[in-house]
Amino acid sequence: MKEHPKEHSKEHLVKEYPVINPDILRTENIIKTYKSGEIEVEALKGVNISIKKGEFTAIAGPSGSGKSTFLNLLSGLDRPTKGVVYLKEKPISEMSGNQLSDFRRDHIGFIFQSYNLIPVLTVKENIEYIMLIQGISEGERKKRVNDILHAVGLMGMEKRRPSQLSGGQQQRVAIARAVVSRPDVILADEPTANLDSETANNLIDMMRSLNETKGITFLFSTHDKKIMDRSKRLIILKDGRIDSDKGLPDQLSL
Amino acid sequence: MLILKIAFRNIFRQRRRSILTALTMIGGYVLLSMALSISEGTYGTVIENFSKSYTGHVQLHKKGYLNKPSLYRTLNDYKSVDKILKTVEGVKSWTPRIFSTALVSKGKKTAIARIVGIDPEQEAKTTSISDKIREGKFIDSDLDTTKDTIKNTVKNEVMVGAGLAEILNLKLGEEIVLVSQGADGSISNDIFKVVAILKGDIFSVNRNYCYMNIKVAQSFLSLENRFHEITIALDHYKYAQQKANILDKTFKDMNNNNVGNKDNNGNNGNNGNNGNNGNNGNNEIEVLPWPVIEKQFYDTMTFEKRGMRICLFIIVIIVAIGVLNTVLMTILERTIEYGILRALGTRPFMLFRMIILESGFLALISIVIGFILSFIINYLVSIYGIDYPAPMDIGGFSITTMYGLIYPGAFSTPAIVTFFTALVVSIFPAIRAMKIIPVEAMRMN
Ligand SMILES: Nc1ncnc2c1ncn2[C@@H]1O[C@H](COP(=O)(O)OP(=O)(O)O)[C@@H](O)[C@H]1O
Ligand SMILES: [Mg+2]
Repeated sequence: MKEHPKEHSKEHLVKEYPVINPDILRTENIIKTYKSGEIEVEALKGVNISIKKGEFTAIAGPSGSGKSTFLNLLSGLDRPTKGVVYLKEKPISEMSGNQLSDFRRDHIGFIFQSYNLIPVLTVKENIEYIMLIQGISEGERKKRVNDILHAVGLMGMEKRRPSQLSGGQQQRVAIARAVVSRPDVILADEPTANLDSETANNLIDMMRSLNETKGITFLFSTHDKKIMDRSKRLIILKDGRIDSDKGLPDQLSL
Repeated sequence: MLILKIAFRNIFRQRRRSILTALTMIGGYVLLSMALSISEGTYGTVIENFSKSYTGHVQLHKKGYLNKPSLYRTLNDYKSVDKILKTVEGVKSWTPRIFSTALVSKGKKTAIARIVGIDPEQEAKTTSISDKIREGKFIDSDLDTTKDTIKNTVKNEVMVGAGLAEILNLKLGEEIVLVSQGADGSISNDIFKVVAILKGDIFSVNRNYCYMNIKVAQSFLSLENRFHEITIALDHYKYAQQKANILDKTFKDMNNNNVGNKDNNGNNGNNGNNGNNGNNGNNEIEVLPWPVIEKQFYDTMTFEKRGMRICLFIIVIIVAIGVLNTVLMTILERTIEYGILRALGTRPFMLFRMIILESGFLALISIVIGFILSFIINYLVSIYGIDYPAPMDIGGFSITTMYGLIYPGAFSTPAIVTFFTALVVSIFPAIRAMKIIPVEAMRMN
């Protein structure tokens, strides 16, 4: 609730004292069909969800259940075959080209399974990247990088290159990179899948504490039972459909 | 911007490949620079030899003489032109000439000769005529070197071209009879002593030439104090056009003065057969550079230089293939990375810029190294030269050693060519990178 990027100050004014907590992300009957040659795979068969600000939600399901597909559609990286994705009630399927790029830059934070840091940039530069393309001033960037390095426990490592970090450390940089530009929601596709279970737990703890202290909205996929248990809300995908959805927003204390 | 940093660091990331690409570009640069330097150096030598041989860099005539040489298209008092030429910077030396045609006979043999009246001192300073004497000595000068005064009478001496000597079977010291028409309409004839026989030169221009002192020629042709041409040598042939313009303007500005125009009426006895040349136009001086005067030679030079374009083209291809290969490989290798950058919200065009920047950086580094290398090489070649395996014939000159010329174009042209080739070749791969679809790129993980 406190984290509003300056760029969104207009929306911010409107949403500062909402009567109801509006949806950040909402999908309407999403269908995604992959075609490869003659074969058609229906990865998502009509998915409806809404994500509200401050959620810490896991999307779980066995491999091939459509988790990645779903997250890609939410972030505008891919387009649904049918249905609409709304970000703050604006349909993102109507955006194109640079608009979509800017949309991701300003509203969506990403954490990937394989960290995906830019190898030629240092920790600090990786974290700064999105803020730079957003055009945030140097002073503000410095401040935010400092804060986030503290929050993810990477102080003193800002000059290192990704290759000089462990997997867990790299993923913490990725979290920092996703958080620092203050997006509306952070989407994480199996962020812990490449980590050992202890590191994975620590990482989820860190995400959860960011969620609780800074109100950052997280939506992450996992097929790890222990990780699912750390979520506030758990959506289970099965065969392209929502199988169960426990801990809906109205059950949360917001 | 961070994009710049990424681009720059990427160069050092795949060091081996970057070095290979840079070497290609450096190689291309050095080759092109050397080719330009040597070609310019060689053509410079040829042009200098050519102009030194006879034409000079710039010539001054009465307007229209060059198109239609006529005995009557004369200017007056070449000494008065001297004062003006002295004021123009870059003029090294100059020499007046007078021309006509004559029948030459020795005994029963007769031939046609071109009479060239020259000022021996000035001519020797301006052209390489003294080097061309095969046997004999230079014609009599009107300067009395012993008393340092000007003589009243100059001997009837001639230096004859190799062709003329052959036809008439001339030997040194023999006498010949010249018959020609004077400007006053009279037939003039006189006896001349052969004091020198010239070498045949590669242009065969002087084969039938018959050089004599300009004073002798003036009196023989009844052209007292008049001349047809002044040939001017400059510090460098490349200033020809510029200096010709300056001189031309200077003389035009002096239109009202008496330059070359002192005795407007002195020579008008022949106005009858010379209506278009009533001497009212002695001030119509025209100054032209060698490319205009010797158009054919100039065209030959230009044509030979055009061969350079093939060289240029080959180098462009080498650089292009090298760069294209690298950039394409790079893009294949970094598809995932580009996908991530796109996913994080980088606009496609920024990726495009990044790739172009990478090529641009690499090109700049290569150009700097290429410049240093080729400067050293060109410098050495300009001093020591490179011997041709066999003498080469360029514009009628046989060249055995080629020397480089250090001039800005030898470095700027390769720089521009290398840089733009690198950029242009990167456009296609950069567009490909722009079109990378993030989801697909990242699925490659
Ligand atoms: N690009 C694609 N082309 C064809 N089929 C795909 C593609 N991406 C995913 N799929 C299929 O869609 C289904 C869902 O995949 P995915 O979203 O990756 O599931 P998850 O992330 O839960 O493992 C799977 O059957 C998978 O094979
Ligand atoms: Mg997946």
